[in-house]
Formats: sequence, C-alpha cells, structure tokens
Amino acid sequence: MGWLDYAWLGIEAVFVSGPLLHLAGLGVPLIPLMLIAGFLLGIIVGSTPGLAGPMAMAISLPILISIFGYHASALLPVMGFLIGIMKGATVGGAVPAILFNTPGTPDAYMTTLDGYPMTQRGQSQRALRIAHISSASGDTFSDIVLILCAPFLAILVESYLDLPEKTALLLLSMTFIAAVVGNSVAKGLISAGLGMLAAFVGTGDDFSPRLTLGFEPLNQGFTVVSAILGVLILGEVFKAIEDIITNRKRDAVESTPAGSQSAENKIDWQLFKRLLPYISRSAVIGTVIGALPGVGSTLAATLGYGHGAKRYKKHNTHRQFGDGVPEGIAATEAANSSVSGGKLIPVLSLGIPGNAAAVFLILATDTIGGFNPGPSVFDRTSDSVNPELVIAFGLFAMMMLANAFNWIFGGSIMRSMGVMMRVPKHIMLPAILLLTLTSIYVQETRMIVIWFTIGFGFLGYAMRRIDMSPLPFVIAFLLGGRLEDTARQAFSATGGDPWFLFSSDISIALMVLTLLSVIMVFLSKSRNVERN
Amino acid sequence: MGRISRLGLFALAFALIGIVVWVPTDIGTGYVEKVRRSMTLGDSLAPTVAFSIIGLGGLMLIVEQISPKRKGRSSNHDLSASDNNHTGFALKLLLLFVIYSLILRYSGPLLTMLWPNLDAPYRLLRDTAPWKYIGFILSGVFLMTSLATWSSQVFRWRVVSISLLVCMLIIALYDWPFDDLLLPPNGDV
Repeated sequence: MGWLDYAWLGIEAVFVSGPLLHLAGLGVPLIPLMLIAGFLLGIIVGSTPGLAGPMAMAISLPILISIFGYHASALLPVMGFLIGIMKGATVGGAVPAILFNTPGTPDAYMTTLDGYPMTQRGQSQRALRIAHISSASGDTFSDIVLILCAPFLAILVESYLDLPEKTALLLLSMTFIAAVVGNSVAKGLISAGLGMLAAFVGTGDDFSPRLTLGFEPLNQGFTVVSAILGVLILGEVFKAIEDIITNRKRDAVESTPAGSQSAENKIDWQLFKRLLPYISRSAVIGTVIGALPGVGSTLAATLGYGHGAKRYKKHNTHRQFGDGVPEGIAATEAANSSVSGGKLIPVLSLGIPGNAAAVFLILATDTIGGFNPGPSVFDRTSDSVNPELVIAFGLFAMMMLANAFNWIFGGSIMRSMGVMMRVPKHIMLPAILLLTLTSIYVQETRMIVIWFTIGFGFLGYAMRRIDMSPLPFVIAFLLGGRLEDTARQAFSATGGDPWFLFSSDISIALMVLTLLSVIMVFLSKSRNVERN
Repeated sequence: MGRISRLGLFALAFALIGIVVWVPTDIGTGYVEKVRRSMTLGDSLAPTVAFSIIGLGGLMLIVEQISPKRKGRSSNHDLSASDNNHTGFALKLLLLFVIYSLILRYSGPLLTMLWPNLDAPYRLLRDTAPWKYIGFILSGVFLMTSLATWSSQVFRWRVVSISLLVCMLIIALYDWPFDDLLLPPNGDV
C-alpha cells in the first residue's frame, strides 16, 4: 500500500469508520466531536492563569480512558481530545496576556509586552485578532512540516540505526533534554538521574524486585500516573498554593480594566501583509526549536520576538517592539504556537517526548495500547496493512481538522474568554488537586498510589523551589525502562561486547554528541551566568 | 555554604551511598550476568548509571559554586530564611494530607459502625449509596476548604458549599456513569 492509501485510510478512520454519536436519530462521527470538545477545553484552560494544557490533559486522560476503555478503537477519540486541548491551550494563552498583562501560559509572556499596551490604547480586540491569526498560522505551518518530516525521519532511523545506535540515541535525547531545560545543566542531570532511578524501582529481569528497601508496596514499582501527575501537576499546584499565600496582598491589585475600544479593530489586508514576514520567520523558528527535544515554546517565543524586534528596528523608527506594535504579538504567537507541531516530530518518529504535552500523548498511547510511537509506526514493508500507520495518518487528519476549526471559530471563542480571569485561584487549585487524586485512585484503586503521588508531588514542589526543571525527571522516567531494555538487547546482540555503544561510526558519533551537548551547554550557561 | 553547593554535596553523597551500599544490597544480580552460556546485562547496571548521573550533576554543581567568578553571589541569610519558609509550608501541607487520608479511610467505616440498626459492616456497603460517598465527601470538603481557607486566610461558608459541589461533580463524573469504578477509599476497605 502506498502513502496516499494510508492517508485515505487515516481520514476514513476519523470521519467514517470511527464510532458514532447518535443525536436525534442521526449518527455523528464521534472523533471530530472529541477533537472540537478538547479544543474548546484547551482554549478555556489556556485563558485561565494558573492552568495549563498539560494539566487539563492529565486530568482528562483517566476520565477518557474510563469512557472509552483500553481498546485500540479508543486511541483516536482519546488522542483527538488531547490534541484538541494542546492546540486550544496554545491559542488561549494569549488572552489574559493581552487583556490583563498576565500570561496564561509561560510562553505567552512576550505577548504581554506588546499586547497589553495595545489594550491600554483601546485596541484589545485587534490585538486578540492578531494573536489568533499568528497562532493559527504558526500551528498550521508546523503541522505541515510534521506530516512531511516525521515519516521521513522515522524511515531514516529504521534504515540506519541498529540496537546499539538506538541505545546511544536514547542516551543522547535524555542528556540533551537534561542539559538544555532550565538554568543549570547540573540540576537537569540530577533531575534526569532521579527520574531514571524512580523508573528502575521494583522492575528488572531478576525474580526479586530491586531497590525496594524491603517495602512491599514498592515491589510493583511506581505507577506511571503517580510519578508523572505527582511531579508535574501536584508539584505545580503545591507551588502555586504557596505563591498565593506568600503574594496574597499583591494578588489583590492584579487586573486592570481593558478600557474603551477604538474603532480600528479589524485586520485588513495591508496589516496582514505587514505581519506576514514576522509570522513566517517565527513559524520556522518555532518549528525548528519544537523539533528539538526539551527545548520549549518559551525559548521559541523569545527567539521569535528577538528576531522580529531586530527586523522591525531596521524598517521603523517612531515606535519599537514593547510599545504595543502588532508585529510584536505576531512574532511571539507564531513562534510559540508552531512549537506544538514540531514537538510531535520526535514523538512520532522516535517515540521521544520533547515537552509535557507530548508526555501525556505518549502516556495515553502507553495506557491504551495498540500504538507505539517510534520508527515502526511508519513501516510499510509488510504485505498487510500497518494499523499503526493508519492511526498516525488519523492523527494528522485530526490535527488539520483542528487547524481548520481554529481558523474558522478559534478567534471568536478566544475573544470571549476574558471572563476566565475571574476564576478564583485559591478555590480552583484545591479542586484540581482533589480531581487529580481521585482520577488516579479510580485507575489504580490503591491508597498507597495516592501516597506515592503525594510524595512525587512534594518532589516536584522541591524541584521547582530549587529551580530544577521537573521535565527531565518525567522524560527519564518514561524512557528509563526502554533505555535499559534496548541496552540489554544491544549487549546480547553484540555477543556481550562491553563497548557496544562504540561499535559503529553512527553510535560513536551519537555518543560524542551526547558528551558534547552536556559540555557545550554547560559552558554556555556558565558564561551566561557570569555575564549576568 | 550556599544552597547550591549543599544540594551538590547532597546529590554526590546520595549517589555514592546508592552505588556503594544500596545497589549491592538491594539488587539480586550484578552488572553483567551469564545466562545459559550467553552474557547479559544484570539488574544493577541501569540503577548504577542513574546514580552516576545524579553524582555527576552534584559534582558539576559543586564545581559551579567554587568557581572564583561565582563566589559570594548568593546571600546565605536569604536562602536559609526562604528554605525554612518552604519547609514549614511543606510540613503543614503534609499534615493536611495525613488528616485528609485519615478522614477518607476511616470516616465511612466509623459512621456505619455507629449508625443505629445497621448490621452490615462498611466492606459490604462500599458500593452502596450513600455509604460509599461518606469518606470521599467528608475528606474532599475538608481538603478543599482547608487549602482555600489557608490561601485566603478567611473562612467562608461559601467555600464549604463550593467544595461540596466539586465533590458532587467528581462523583457525577466517575461514579454515576461507570459501574466498575470505585471512588476512594472503597478499593482498599
């Protein structure tokens, strides 16, 4: 079967052969509805300061699995909902940044610099329209790159990388993420090491479970949901609650009214033509940054904004970035939104999650089964139909559908979300905490898992307090078992060669890159700290 | 000694103890094993690599801190004061979770025991309304109300009613549509 046949099967799986929802006697395809529902939830979540896309994905996942079960047929509706959240949250993050000078997501910080001054001049609706067009353009561009690049990269990996090279590639990905995330390479390494260690507790090939300290409940190891939701969600909730307690007085004078609206709120063709170079440049920057594991949308937004500011300075003298210019919003929003498609390139082609949202997509496929992100997804060598490839094209079809929905309706929905600023954080955070703990219990049905989650929550809280990113922990936890299995297979396949990681030119190159990535990033970050 | 170098020393010590004491005593196989005449990696290797990465991170933190250009950059007094605040917050939060957990686990069984003319133990009622909701609702309202009150420093009955509403919504989300799901703590009793 050719690529086009698979693409058609993927589209069919989403629109025709998927489950139907019966409304007034009519069968409506469920998967597009789930995608749209996820997208709406994503915009709401992105527009609410203190909430983020990954948080909503984490809470939704167990509910979705309870509804759809563990069958392969559950994959597309569940993934559709999660992808919808991911995309919606990217768009929604700009709303509080523009209207209230409070970024809904960290990557929308740069949007406040030009968005809020426009609001103060009575141009909030125009600023929101610019943010929406730029975000939708960046997102669509990165999805097209994903669809074109992921299969190509996967085929390259499958053709040239054997077991030792795959082990070296996993090591490179983990150390690269540990090195580039956060302000300190050393803390990134500690975080990744802890994640690996947690993954190895209670597992292994031997009959006796390892690293349990004789504590029986650890014999089965830590569950993936307790470690990931604990570190990512509970850790963030604990920190946010403490921040509210500490900054109570400051929070009282947080929001400023938007002011009256000026007449020029529409975006005409002239303005769009002016914005286009900034949008396209930032879309490329965001997609490239997104494809690198670990490097997030905040860096993409900063780089996009920086490049845009330089270009703007050359052509304009009367007003600059930061004074409330539309190009500033366009450069930032196109860059941070184009990361979402780029981030799925390593997920689908290598099975390596590059950010928190990708972690939850991998977690969903792991939990449901029937789809193992990685090079094998794009395998067309067998005579029979590869169901994983059909699902991959189904995912691509859903992403394009989400983009179409975003282009048509996203702007109006986004412009009505200013009300989310009024949600009181001191009530919302405990509610999220209770919902997360309950959703973990209904999956695992053991109180000890709740305690493990709370323990990981404290670990995540401590990491944030000492300025250590929890992302390397989570990614190392997810990849640790796979790294060990691949290394075991590579060691056996090379006849017990202790130097199997240096057995070919490619694996040597990957190991050298692993070492270099740590050294170079360490030196560069040290220089930055000394300079500042 | 600043917080960063203390963290570095702690990470290094943890890694050394892990490699020298924990791995050899708590893992059944070594680094490399011979299984049916072929060599295979043992269970000790991967945890040792993980400990080594932690140790390397710790060492790099110490090196960063003793670098002459970095010395004297952080105020020890500020760091220890904020450390104490964070530890205090974490301990109070832990206490809250202990109370939450006790209410969750024992309020249902206790109430069924004290309820007049009710012969069945809680275990038999754990899938019967309203008994199955007691622990979940009481502990959920306690957790949400105490956290919200702690954050805002004001107790309001409105928060109690919102907490109750949230618990009911969670019940509606997980318990009513699915027969096979158990709310906490009903899988453990």
